[in-house]
Amino acid sequence: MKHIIELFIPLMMGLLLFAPYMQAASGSGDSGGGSPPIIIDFGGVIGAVNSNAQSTEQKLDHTTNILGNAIGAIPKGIFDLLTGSIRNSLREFNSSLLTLAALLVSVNPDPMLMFSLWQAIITVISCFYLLVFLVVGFKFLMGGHNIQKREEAKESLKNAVIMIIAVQLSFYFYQLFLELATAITQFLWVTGFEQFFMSTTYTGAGIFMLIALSASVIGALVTLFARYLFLLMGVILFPIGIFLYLIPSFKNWGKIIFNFIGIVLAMQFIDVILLVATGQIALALVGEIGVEFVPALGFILMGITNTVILVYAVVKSAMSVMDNAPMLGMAIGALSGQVGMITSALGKGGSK
Amino acid sequence: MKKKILILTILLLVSQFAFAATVNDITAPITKIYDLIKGIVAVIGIIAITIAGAMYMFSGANIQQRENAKSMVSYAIIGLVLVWVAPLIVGYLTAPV
Repeated sequence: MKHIIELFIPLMMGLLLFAPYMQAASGSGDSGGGSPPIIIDFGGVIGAVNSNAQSTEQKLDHTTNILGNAIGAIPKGIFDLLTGSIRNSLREFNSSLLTLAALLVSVNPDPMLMFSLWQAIITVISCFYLLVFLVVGFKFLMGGHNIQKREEAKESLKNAVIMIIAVQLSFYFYQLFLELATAITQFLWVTGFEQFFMSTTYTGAGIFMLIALSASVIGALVTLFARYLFLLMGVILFPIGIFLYLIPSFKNWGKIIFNFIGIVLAMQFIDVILLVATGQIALALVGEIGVEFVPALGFILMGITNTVILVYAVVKSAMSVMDNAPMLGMAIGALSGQVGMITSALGKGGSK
Repeated sequence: MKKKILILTILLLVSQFAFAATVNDITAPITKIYDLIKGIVAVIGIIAITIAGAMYMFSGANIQQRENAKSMVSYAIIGLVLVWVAPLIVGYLTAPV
């Protein structure tokens, strides 16, 4: 069938080409005149066919080039798409982390969260007020003959009254300290480092820079969470600290608690000062280093400083407790000795 | 591991009793101690006042000893008052405003 078509097409073309001549030849016999013969310029036809072929070839080359370029660009496109999506995800992740970090740095916890626990602690402490007054009264009784002891008794009474009032108001004092710290931080907040916490600052940052920033912010966040936790613990520790500080035998224990709370409160100022300093450096440096590298460095510094301060506070407290432990150990030993003696005496009495 | 589970179980069981404690459970032993010492302090106070009275009687022309005896009496009275009025003072200072 194919061969038939291959033979048929040239035959048909030949017929179509020579048909006018055949018609003219047959017509001349009838009328003797007619239309002039059609002259086909085969050279022109061949030239047209050639030029058409050339243009088709050029188009083909062009298409090949386009396709080649497109195929070559696919890996780059996929890579760009992937990196773009990773960067966007990291930027979003960083944005939420930075918002949280800004909140934890600038605002202190609300002590009202611990109010019920504070009330419970105050109730327990207030049970001991009676004993404190007993001791003070006893001191007055026994110190009447000695001027020095009289002064000590007066001092004890003054301390007892101050202690009761201070412990009862401890929650409001603590709230005041926290609010003061927050107010000072808010005042320092608007001095050039707030750009650290804006996700728009890191629009042009690369993936590695964004990952470094995430890691540094997470590190800083851990320490900020710890600070938050200790500050909330402070609501309970503060009245205990006041109570212990105003009892001469336990003054050092009270000092330990005050030191601890003071250090945790001071962390916020140190953080803000660090951020202000790094903010100034970031503003001074132009380009990618200033915009992206310095904030990450600032958060790393903040995390390290916070960790050092927290560890120092805990270790210092622990060391102070160890220094004071012999006294406590002696007290417990004496008490247990007495209890042991009473128990053995009761046992002997019971056996008789 | 078994030991830890056992300790944890015991702690959980004990914690129920721990949470069941009320403020009265804490104050009750302290009140007992207070009542006991209040009695002792009263006796000591009477002894101190008696000694101070004797010192005053035998002070004679010694002014310093007389003043000392006076202050002993006054401090003994202040001490007694403080001990006996302690619940009232504490109640007054800890009363909700």
